[in-house]
Amino acid sequence: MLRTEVEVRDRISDLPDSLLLHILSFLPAKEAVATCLLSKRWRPLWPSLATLDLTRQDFRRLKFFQQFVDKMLKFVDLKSVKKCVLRLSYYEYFRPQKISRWINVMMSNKVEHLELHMMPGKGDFELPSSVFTANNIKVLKLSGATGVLWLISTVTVGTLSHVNLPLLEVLHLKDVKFPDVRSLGMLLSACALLKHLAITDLHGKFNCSLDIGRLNHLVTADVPQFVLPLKVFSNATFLRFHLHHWLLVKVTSDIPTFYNLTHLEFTYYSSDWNTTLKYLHSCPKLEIVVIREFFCSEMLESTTIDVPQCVSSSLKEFHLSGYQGKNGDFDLARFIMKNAMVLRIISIRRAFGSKATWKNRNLKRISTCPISLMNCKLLLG
Amino acid sequence: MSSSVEAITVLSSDGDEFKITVSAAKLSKPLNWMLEDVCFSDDCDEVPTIEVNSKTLVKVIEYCEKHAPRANSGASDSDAEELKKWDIEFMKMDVKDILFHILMAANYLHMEGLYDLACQTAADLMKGMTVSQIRKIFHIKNDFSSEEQEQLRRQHPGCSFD
Repeated sequence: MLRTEVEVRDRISDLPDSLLLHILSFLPAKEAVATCLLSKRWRPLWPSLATLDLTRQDFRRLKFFQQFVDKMLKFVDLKSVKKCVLRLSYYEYFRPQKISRWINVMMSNKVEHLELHMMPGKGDFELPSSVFTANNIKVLKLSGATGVLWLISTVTVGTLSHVNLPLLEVLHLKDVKFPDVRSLGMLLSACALLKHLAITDLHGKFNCSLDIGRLNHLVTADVPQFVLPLKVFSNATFLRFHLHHWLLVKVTSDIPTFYNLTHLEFTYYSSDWNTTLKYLHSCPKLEIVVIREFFCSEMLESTTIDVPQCVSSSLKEFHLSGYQGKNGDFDLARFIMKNAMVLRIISIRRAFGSKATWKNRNLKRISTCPISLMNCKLLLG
Repeated sequence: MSSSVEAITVLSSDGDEFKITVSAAKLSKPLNWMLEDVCFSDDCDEVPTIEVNSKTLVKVIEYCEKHAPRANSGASDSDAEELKKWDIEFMKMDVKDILFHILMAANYLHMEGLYDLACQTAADLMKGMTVSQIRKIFHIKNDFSSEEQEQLRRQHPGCSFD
């Protein structure tokens, strides 16, 4: 009998408010509010929610969603809200003024984390300026979306007159439209404490190159290649350059020294040995290198060049994809295998569409290269 | 504390003895303070008690030992991925019995990682459930009068009691 009594005890309701509220912060706002119907213990909790996850898809009808958000923003204690997530669908008509008003209410208090995600559809949404003058914000994630038939909904940044984001540490931009390159520069220069930057698919007129200084606190960056000058990232430890979908002005800049960089990824259309070596010479602590689509037919006289410091002393992993077995690719792989003294893994993936016989042929050729250390793994595929 | 000590002994609230490595104990702030203050050498008689029952303490120590290497040295992405899978397996436990105790223990021992993981697990049990289903899962008693229910229903037209 005693055992049954213990089992049916409502233990979760004995937990302190702070703990119950933390559980609710992992639920969509709609479900978090609905817990007020559970019992008297749960009824007063939701107005103190720290996270508002407001998603259009959680509601059957647009009208219900709008009413719900209006009500939330009216009754919730905004002083306790730290994180707001707004996911909208643009297949439907949202009055931009309404969304702006919601965002302005969210930004009026001490929100530290704001995410605005548009679902695929058509139409752009221009952000209210309150987003760019938020003293407390630490995390800002803005994303538009690409839908069927390449219909793009962007989150649009208007002409900026004043930006003040003194505490911002994380900035993610996807399908975001800027009026010009100057506005992007203004935004980035205003984030003095930025640690993590991720940019995919920028839109707008980028008809001149950008001149901004180094982001002194930057740790990781995942950004389009050639859009920003390299010195912006020179403090980072992790750097991934990806190819941009849209044609932008290619920024050519000097390669600064990346004193902290341990992880570098980049994509080549075509390149030459000089550039590759310059990169390696500029990153003295590099441990992991990932190079995609290295098409290089130029041969290398490896006996005549200086081995970069990172190759001989710190490089642990080297990954090359899009390998075609041309002279340049082969020389690069051979150069690394010969000179990397602490290498653990070298992986070489064949170019898309190359024939199945590729592996056998190249396996023989690559495996004849001298590997500097016996405990280095060679992966071919 | 001498640096030669690699594991310490603690008592559960049921009075059972457990060993925990020093690096794992550091995941908890109160345990870390204890490490700094109390003598943990073999000839020391005093064994500190942790106000967590034996069954829960076994799980908490298991979590700490798994997470300690990563917390102390930092790890690669693949390790983080593996650890995430391990967390999911770790949290597949009897709801009524132990999740509540894990929540309390993580709160009491100031273990941020386990606290988030346990709260997330509790939230996942509630996600997509109706109010009456949640009541059933956690044995929550509906203590509203019919008038109060009526009033709440009017205030929250989108939500349903069923």
